[in-house]
Parts: sequence; structure tokens; C-alpha cells
Amino acid sequence: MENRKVLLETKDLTKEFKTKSGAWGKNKATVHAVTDVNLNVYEGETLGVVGESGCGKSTLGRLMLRLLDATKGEVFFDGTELNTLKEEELRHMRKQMQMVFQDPFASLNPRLKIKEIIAEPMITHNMYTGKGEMEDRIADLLKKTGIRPEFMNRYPHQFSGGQRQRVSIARALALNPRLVICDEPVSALDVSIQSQILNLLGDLQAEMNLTYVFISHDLSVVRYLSDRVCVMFLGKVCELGITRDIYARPLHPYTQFLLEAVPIPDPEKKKEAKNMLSGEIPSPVNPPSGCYFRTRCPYATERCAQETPVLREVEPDRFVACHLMDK
Amino acid sequence: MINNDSIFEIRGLKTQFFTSKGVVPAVDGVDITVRKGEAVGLVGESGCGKSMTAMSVMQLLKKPGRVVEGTIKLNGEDLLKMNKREINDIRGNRISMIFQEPMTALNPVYTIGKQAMEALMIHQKISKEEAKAKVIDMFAKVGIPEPEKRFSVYPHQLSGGLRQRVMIAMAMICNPELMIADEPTTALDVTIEAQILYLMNQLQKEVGTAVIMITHNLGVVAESCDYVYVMYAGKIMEEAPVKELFKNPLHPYTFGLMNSIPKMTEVKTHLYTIKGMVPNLLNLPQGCRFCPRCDKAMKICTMYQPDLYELEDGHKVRCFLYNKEVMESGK
Amino acid sequence: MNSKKLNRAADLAAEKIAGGFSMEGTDWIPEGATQPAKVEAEAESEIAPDETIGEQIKSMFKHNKLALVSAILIVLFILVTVFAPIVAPHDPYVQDLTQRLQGPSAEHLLGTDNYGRDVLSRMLYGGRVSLLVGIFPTIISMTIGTALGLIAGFYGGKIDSIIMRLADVLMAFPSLLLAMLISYTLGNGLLTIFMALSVVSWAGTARVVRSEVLSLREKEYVEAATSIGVKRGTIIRRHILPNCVPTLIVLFTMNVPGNILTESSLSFLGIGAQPPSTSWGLMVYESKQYLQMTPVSTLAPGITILLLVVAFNFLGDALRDKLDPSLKN
Repeated sequence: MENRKVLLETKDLTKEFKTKSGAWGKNKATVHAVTDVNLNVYEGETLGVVGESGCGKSTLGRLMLRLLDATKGEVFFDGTELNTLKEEELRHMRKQMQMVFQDPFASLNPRLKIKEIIAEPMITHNMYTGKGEMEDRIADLLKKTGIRPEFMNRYPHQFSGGQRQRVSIARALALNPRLVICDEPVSALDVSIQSQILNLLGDLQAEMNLTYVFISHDLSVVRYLSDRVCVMFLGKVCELGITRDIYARPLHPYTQFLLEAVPIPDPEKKKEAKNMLSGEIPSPVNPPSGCYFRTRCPYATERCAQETPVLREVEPDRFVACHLMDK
Repeated sequence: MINNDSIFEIRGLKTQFFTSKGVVPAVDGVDITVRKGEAVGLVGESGCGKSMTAMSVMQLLKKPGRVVEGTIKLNGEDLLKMNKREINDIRGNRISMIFQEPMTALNPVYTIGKQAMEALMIHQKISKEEAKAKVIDMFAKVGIPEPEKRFSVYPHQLSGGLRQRVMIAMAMICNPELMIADEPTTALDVTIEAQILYLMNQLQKEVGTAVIMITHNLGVVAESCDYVYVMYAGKIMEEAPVKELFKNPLHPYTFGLMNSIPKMTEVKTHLYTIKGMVPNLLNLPQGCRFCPRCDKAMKICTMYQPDLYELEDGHKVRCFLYNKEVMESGK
Repeated sequence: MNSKKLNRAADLAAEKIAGGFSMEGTDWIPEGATQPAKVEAEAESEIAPDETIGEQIKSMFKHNKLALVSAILIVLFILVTVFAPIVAPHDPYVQDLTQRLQGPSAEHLLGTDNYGRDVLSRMLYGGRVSLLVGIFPTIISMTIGTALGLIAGFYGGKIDSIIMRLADVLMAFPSLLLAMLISYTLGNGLLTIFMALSVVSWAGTARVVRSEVLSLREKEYVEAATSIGVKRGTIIRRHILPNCVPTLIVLFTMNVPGNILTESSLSFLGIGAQPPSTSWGLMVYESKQYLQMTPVSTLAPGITILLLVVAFNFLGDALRDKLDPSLKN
């Protein structure tokens, strides 16, 4: 792993949202969306980020691209710290990193033609000057993502969800980026369409040597596409490691329960009583002291309430944030 | 299978939407049988008509949708022949429903206790105090912590999981014969989903209520159903007991669905995909509805619609591949 | 409304589309089935039909006869007032004191007024003022309001606070009073009315546009544009403003009758159009004392205002239903 090149690195990345309520905005609350995340994304890999709703995985994705400004911490893209960049420098940096969004109905401007949507990144960065050249490139991108180039003069609302997601991917690839952050790209799609998009993402990665950060709540999708997985709970990373290892032998109690909870499409493997997590996800406004997971964790001890566990390497390439690992 | 006496039967149900662009056959000749205490799964992708089937049963269809044909019988009584009062007597009492998004199904201006009491007071002539006691009892049963305190809480003060528990409590409070659950766990997180599915299974066993589980998630079906119907473009494509169906999916569509979901246990390979697109319901293919997407399509499939052929052990499939005459004639 | 939503649901239901890849593992096929050739990674072959804004409006008129009638009425009003010199049967300023306060006749279709002038001809000329005052100040005030609303909504923070507090103050002030104030300081006349109406009514547009921008700003396609590196000005121009257009069209059809009414009120109070030139509001004012003697000539301008305002409102409602993006995918 040492010889692999780090493309993106986060250091103590933290994002807090301040909310105000009450007549004069006096009742201030802080939502701890992402807390002290340290991650490396290696060139050419797919890093899966999983977690339940409100775990901060989407916020993390946006922090990685500096679509949101971090409260604390740093993001290094190929050695350049993004949070200190000026607007113009950042704009140039964006050529190398792109995003595919969750909702294929909201991520394309309904008033622009498909052609204009895909041309936008190229116009923004002055990539092609000739009109014919640009059209060839758009046709090429559409072909690559499985849409007939003849449709480039149509509007987004004429396409189905799966087709729009293909257009969205074509737009993200227009600049030949090095990093693509996929924020739940298939969760709004039907099962049969989902597999097409997943295959497409896999093929494109191989073809264009892309690096993916794949954010999803669907554990089987992450399993399919990721080389490494990062499990998040309430804004913190609780486990990070090679996909196969984590799915075969989850070490953090939360990962264990999460994997156990997924309904398996095989009635023969149906368990009478699952090992289930009790209780609800705590609020990110007022997280518990110490380990955030301790209120739901059956193994929680005194220590978990007082001391915050740190993410540390327990085995080669396997990071866990849990006091149980100290034994 | 628990036993063989069916309590609920849908026969030849046709629901259509009369739109400005033409008639949309959302449900087209669906037969469903539910036996006592059985959990039946109705699977399909969005737009296949599975929710419309439920809406037809509950008679909650809105214009321009209308049931045009068929019978829906609960213990022999045809729901479609009843007047409004008789239907109201059945809805929420003998047949209840759980929706995908509990927040929209609950009224935000009433406490959850009051809403749960409403169904009880309407259908069973009991006093307020009795109703309240029963509701608190039911809340405890569905695993709502501190049910007395939660009785006077508003829906927005609860998490999604707890709201769905309230919905289940409300659906179960009159001991219905049939409960229809329309994607009950789709809006929930995995760990909460597991809790809710477990709860529904437990209640179903305990009370003996039959369940129709409408979902797109094959995992949910495998874990919570006894018998499965697979729906596509308004028609039932295949039906079988759950173990049989998953072991031996016969219809090319079912096979495709099952193989296109990534498995938790498999390594990164290419996923199976179903080519093409779901047909436009306004412009259906002449033959089998799945034909344009089917890898096994034969000449006959483009011309005639197959029936639901019954094989041995109750496995039924709507595909010419399983019709002996067609296959032997060598077309 | 319901039928529209369900239509849409049905359309969506009928719109599930997929692409395709070759399949592997065909060992499960029963014998005798034909083996299809492997399918290339082919494109989706079908998409929904094209529907431009023009076609949408066409289909709206086809299904909504009320909107059609309203549109025809509005166009008719505009045409006859524009061509008033050709259409009008008499000179609107010529007084004939022998023909005072006549009822409708073949000569004077809507009768005559206090000075014996032909009411129909005066209405055609007066309509020029009313329509002009309805349309131009609306365009000016909406341009100001849209610009300020866009800035306030997109940039937020202090600029937003300043613009919106200013709008609040304007809206809290009775608009008729403010318009009167302006015309008293600047003197009577059409130009004053224009200015008064423009200044008074930008605040409403700014508010609506701002709230629209606030929701559009959070759209994923705006975020996508940011992630691509598109400049902020371009984002406003390409991604936010065009998506405000349906709202602006609707707002326009609502503001025009509002301004016509305000002008009528101002004229009625003697601040608007000045005699001998006229407007519908002024005509109502001038003839109000003769209501019992010649009801037709008194009521005609009032009813015309009513018809035009109602027509604009119907058209606005229909356009909103048709162009509302939330009803379209």
C-alpha cells in the first residue's frame, strides 16, 4: 500500500452547521456533521463510504471537493491544500475532481439541452474552441455512457432516471477528471437500472483510470464497487479497511450490526432472530460523550462514556475506532 | 404455508387511468390469493402497478383512475360491490394499510395517541378510557418506549423508525384480518429496517394477521414473506412460494432481477443487467410485455400474450418457455 | 389538480427506461428456446416526446377554454386600443353639448357623457392609457424586483438583509398613499404614474424572486455547476434566472391587472390621467354622478376593467398550472 500514490488526503476534517431558532436567533445549536475525519484516497482505487442517514457521508463528500467550507481541518488534493485556495485557483482545480449526484431529476438543469449540459464544463475551462470539435467530444461522451448521440439536442425531462444519471456521468467525465465523487448515484434508480449504472461506473473506471469516492447507504452496492470501505457513524469514521476483509470480519460493533441488518435475498439463509441493534440513532446536535456509538452498543463500558476512541491501525490496512480493540 | 383456507382473493383485477393521452392499464388482470396468517410479497419496480393494486383494494384510487373489472373478496364478501359505509367499516378495521412515509400518513396537528384512538373509537364501540388503555397497550407491544408518555406526543417529535412503529400500532389495533404494507421500510435506515421487519414478523405470528408486503427489495421479500408474486407492467409474471422462487426463478424477468442486485458475498465482477426499457403503458407490445427486453424471446412472444402457466408444486409463470405445446412445436 | 398529478404519475409509470449490456450465464434456459445474439452495449432507444414551452402553451389552450377566452379577450383589448384612431367611431375629444348624457343608440353605441362625447370612442382611447400603465410600469418594476431578488437570494448575508428590509418598509407603506405622495411631489401626469407604480411594486417581485432563488440555489444542478467551476455570475444567468421565468410570467399576469386597478384608483382620486385625456378609471370617476341617468355609459368602463383584470387572472392561473416546474418531473 505504501507505494500507492495518495490522491486525496483529509486531515482532522470537521464540519459543524450552526442553526438558529427562536425569535431573535437566540437558541443556537451546533450540528456536528463531520468530526475529525482522517482519510487517504489512493489513485485508481474506489473508496466506499457507508453509513446511515445523517452520518455525514454526503457532507464529507462535499468537503472533499470544497463545495462546503470546512470548520476545521485540511483537504489535500494531489498535495495542494484546497481550503487555502483562492476562488480562481479553486475553479481551475475543479477540472480534476468531479461529482455525480444522487437525484438524477434535480442534478440536470431542466432548461438546458443535454448538449449544453455536457458542454458547460468544457466551455468553463476553455477546453475546445471549435464548435465541431466540441460536438464530436459530446457525442463521444454520450456514446461512452450509453446514450445515442442523436439525443444531444433533447431536454432532460424527456429522459428517464437511468438515462439522466448517464448524462450526469457524461458531464462529470467531460474534463477527464482524476477523482469522481459519487454521492448515492444509484439509490434513486430501480433495481434493473441500478445494475446498468454500476456496470457503467466500473467500466469507465477501468477505461479512464478514475479514482472514485463512492458514497452510499446500500451495503451491497458498496461491496460490489469498492476496493476499500469507510464506515461512518454520526460524523466519525468507525472502521476503515479493505472491502473483502471488512465484510468477512467486521471489527467495530457498529459495522457488525450494520452488516447483520441488511436483508439478504435468499430465504434459505433467513435467520429466525437477527442480532439486532436496539434504539435509535442519536442526534448530531447533541451527541453522547465519549464514543458516539456507546448508547446503542451492547459492549459499552464505563470507559466508552469518558474517553473518545481514536481511529487507529489495528492490523495492516485496517483502522478501527473502538476501545474493544485494546484488549 | 400455514394452511390452505384463503381469506382474501383478488380475481381479474383491472385498474385503469383515463388520462388525456389515453387509457393507462396500471393493473391488468391480477389474481392474488392470501391465506390466513400468510405473508404474501408483491415485488416489482416502480410503475409496475403494485401500489395501484393496493390502492384498488383500499378503494383509495383517485381520478382519473378506476377499477374497471374484477372482484376483491375478503372472506367471500366482494369489496367492490360495497357502498361507502360498508367500505369504511372494513378499512382500518378488517383491512389496514401501512405506507412508505409515515410522516405524510400521520396528521401533524394531532398527538399520536389521539390518532391511534380514532380508529378504535370508530370501529369498536368502546369508551375513551378503554380506548386509551388499549392504545397504550398496543404502543408497548410495538416497542415504543414509555408508551404512556409518548401517547401525547406529536408525530414530528418522533424519529422515522418510531413513526413507523406508531403506524404499525394503528394498523394492528383493531386486529385486522389483512394488513397491506406498501414499502414499509424503504424510507428507513438498515438497522431500523431490520427492527421494523422483525416487529412485523413477530406481530403477524402472534396475532395471525395476513400480510401483503409490497416492495421492490428482494431482500425484504426473502426475509419476511411466505409466498411471492412478481409483477411487471401491470401483470403478474411469476408466483411461487418464497423458497421455490428464489431457488428456481423461472421467468426471465425474475431471473434478471435477482441477478442484477449486487450480492453481499460476491467479489467485484460484472453485474447481470436487463436490457431495454419497461414498455410505455400507453403503447404496450402486442405480445408478451417483457418480450422487448427478454434475452430468450421467441417469435411467438412478439405476437401472443402468454398465460400464467401452472407447473408442478404450484409454481406459476407467464412465459411461453414453460408451455409444452409451444416448446414442442419448435417455434 | 389531482388529475394532473395522476396523469403525471401515469406518465412516469409509463416511462421506465433502461439501457443494456450483454448477459452471461445462460445455462438455465430450457432446451428449445432460441438463443438471441449478444446485445451490444446499446443506447436506450426511446425517450419522451419533445415539448417546448410553445407547445405547452398550445396544449394549455386546447384543454383550458377559459384561458383561451381570456387570452383572446386580452389580445382583442390590446388590438382595439392600439388601433383606436381607426376603430373609434367618433373623435373622443369633440364635445357636443346638445347630445349630453344620451343612452346607447346606433350613433353612440355606449351613449355619451356629460359633455356629449362618445363613450365608446373615449373608452378606446382611455384603454391606451390603462393598458400602457398596466404593462410598462410592470415591466420596469419587475426588472428592478428580479435583479434585486436575484442578488438578495443568491448572495445572502448583509446585502440580502438590506434589500429585504427596504422591501419590507415599502410593503408596509400603503402603496396608494405612496403613489399619491410621489405624484403630489412630481406633479400629475402619466410619467409620474409610471414612476409611482414602478417604485411601489418592485418589492413584491423581489420577495417572490428571492424565495425562488433560495430554493433554486440548493438544487443539485446549481451545486453541480459550482463543482464544475462555473463562475457565480454565469450560474445566476444560466441556471437560476431561466428557472425563474415561469414564476415571472405568472407574476406578470398578476401585476398587470394590479397596476390597471391602481391607476384606476389614482385617476378616480384625480391624480392619474388628466382631462381631456382619459383612462378607464377616470371615466368611472367622471361619470359616477350620472349613474342613474345613463347607467350603460357609466358602467361600461368599470365592467371593462373588471373583464380585463379577470381575464389576466385566469390566464395567470392557467399558466402557473402549466409552467409550474414542480408538476413537470
